Amino acid sequence: MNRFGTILFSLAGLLLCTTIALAQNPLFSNPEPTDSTELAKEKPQPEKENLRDEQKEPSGYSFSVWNRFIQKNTDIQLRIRQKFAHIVKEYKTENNSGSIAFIFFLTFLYGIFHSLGPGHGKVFIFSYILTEKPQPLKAIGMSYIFASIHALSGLIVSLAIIFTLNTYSSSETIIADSSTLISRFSFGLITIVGIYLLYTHLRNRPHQYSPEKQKPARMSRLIYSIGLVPCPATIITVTFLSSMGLVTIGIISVLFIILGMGITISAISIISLFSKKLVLRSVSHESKTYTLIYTIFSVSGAVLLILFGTWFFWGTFY
Amino acid sequence: MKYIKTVYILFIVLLLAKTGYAHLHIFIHTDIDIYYNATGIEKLHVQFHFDEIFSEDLMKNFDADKNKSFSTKEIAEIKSKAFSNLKNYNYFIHIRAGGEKITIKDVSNFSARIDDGIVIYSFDVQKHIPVSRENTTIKISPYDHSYYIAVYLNKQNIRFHNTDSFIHNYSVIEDKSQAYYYEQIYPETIVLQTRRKS
Repeated sequence: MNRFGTILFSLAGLLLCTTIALAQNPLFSNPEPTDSTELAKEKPQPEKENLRDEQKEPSGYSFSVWNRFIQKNTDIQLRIRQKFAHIVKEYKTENNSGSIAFIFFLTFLYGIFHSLGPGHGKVFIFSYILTEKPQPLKAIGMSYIFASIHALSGLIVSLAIIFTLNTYSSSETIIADSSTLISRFSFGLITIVGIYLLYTHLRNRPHQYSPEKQKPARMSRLIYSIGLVPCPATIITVTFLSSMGLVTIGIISVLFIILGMGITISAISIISLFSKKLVLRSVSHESKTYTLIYTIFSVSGAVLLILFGTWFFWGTFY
Repeated sequence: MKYIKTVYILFIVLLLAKTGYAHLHIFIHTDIDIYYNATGIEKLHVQFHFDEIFSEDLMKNFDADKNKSFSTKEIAEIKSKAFSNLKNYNYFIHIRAGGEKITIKDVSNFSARIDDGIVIYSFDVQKHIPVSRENTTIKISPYDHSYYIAVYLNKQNIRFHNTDSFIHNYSVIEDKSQAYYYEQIYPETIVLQTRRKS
């Protein structure tokens, strides 16, 4: 770890310490009252006008598609969880060994669909790929290393919950606490990494930009460090299985979560990588346009990290 | 062709950027009973059915005697430790009458029970909404704006009571005007059109 990494971790540690008491689960936590709908309070309108607005298609088609995607993913996760709970209880009562394979299969699916939703380092991986130029296999490898670190840290938290907490202290509360910490830790780090990357690229600007001659970046290590924040899906799965007396199955199921999560993150990596290649391939390697596009990718990756890091970091306070 | 590729890239950027950060970890299905009195809507009776996994967690923490039932004391503890904070979230029940948002500061008759491995919260939202001879539009949307909990509306369990003096009809829509969580989620909303009979 270089000096920059040390400073980064110190800052992240500071963030962790200052936010440790906060929680996120609405049922247990005690945040300031906030409501996004109140923030964007509608002006009172005639009732008929309001009703007419509801019938309208949303202004952006892609936004509607995105909304459908989020809703569909939520529905699928619900169905997986329902089936998972049912099969686990069936296994408990009937001791049908065939159910174990199904439990693992469902945790595998849960890993895929849960990581399709917000978080799970996809923005990091994407921004890294936009900024750097990894080979496809390296991108997949990075995705799986990230998923493994993320899930295994979740497993460690789960085991701590299982073996140390006997009084009232719901695992959901722990997850909620972790979630807020995860959010702030991640977004603080995203912003700092973005600033660092932007600084690096702007510093190189006066020279002839040659991507192939760039020093191999070590940002992937920082991306792995983001994975250290525990995966809530893993915590939920393992603590539920342990409450059913199936600790060993819970531990093994983490491997299947990693497999599933890795597929989603890898897919995002590969799509990002090939999208970038697709654009770069359309112009000559020797041309100024190529250099310009490459620079735009690199700088915009860093700017994205700063913008979204700051935005989401700020959002965790409201 | 280059433009198409650029647009494609931008789409990917937006898609990934939109993934935000919060995760949903709990699922609730909501039953809503709407009670009228002589002058309008008297109250809503709300029931939250938690998913089996979170139900297990609640039982582990609050069913101290492990008898698959919550005693009065256990319910009081649930209310104190795993319900009362919802006042900061409008109890996940967002009401608009005539375009005006109605804030819910308190609820009554809280109870919790276990039914076939599912924990169910129930409570009353005592909010009088006057209904005149003019048509009134009331929107009721169950959702958690923080998107930590996915709150579904049980469409088959929307019930009306004491409606003899009123005309009512309703539909359930995805309410785009109440999009929440970075405008990404449209809550399921009961749009109730009601008026007093002449």
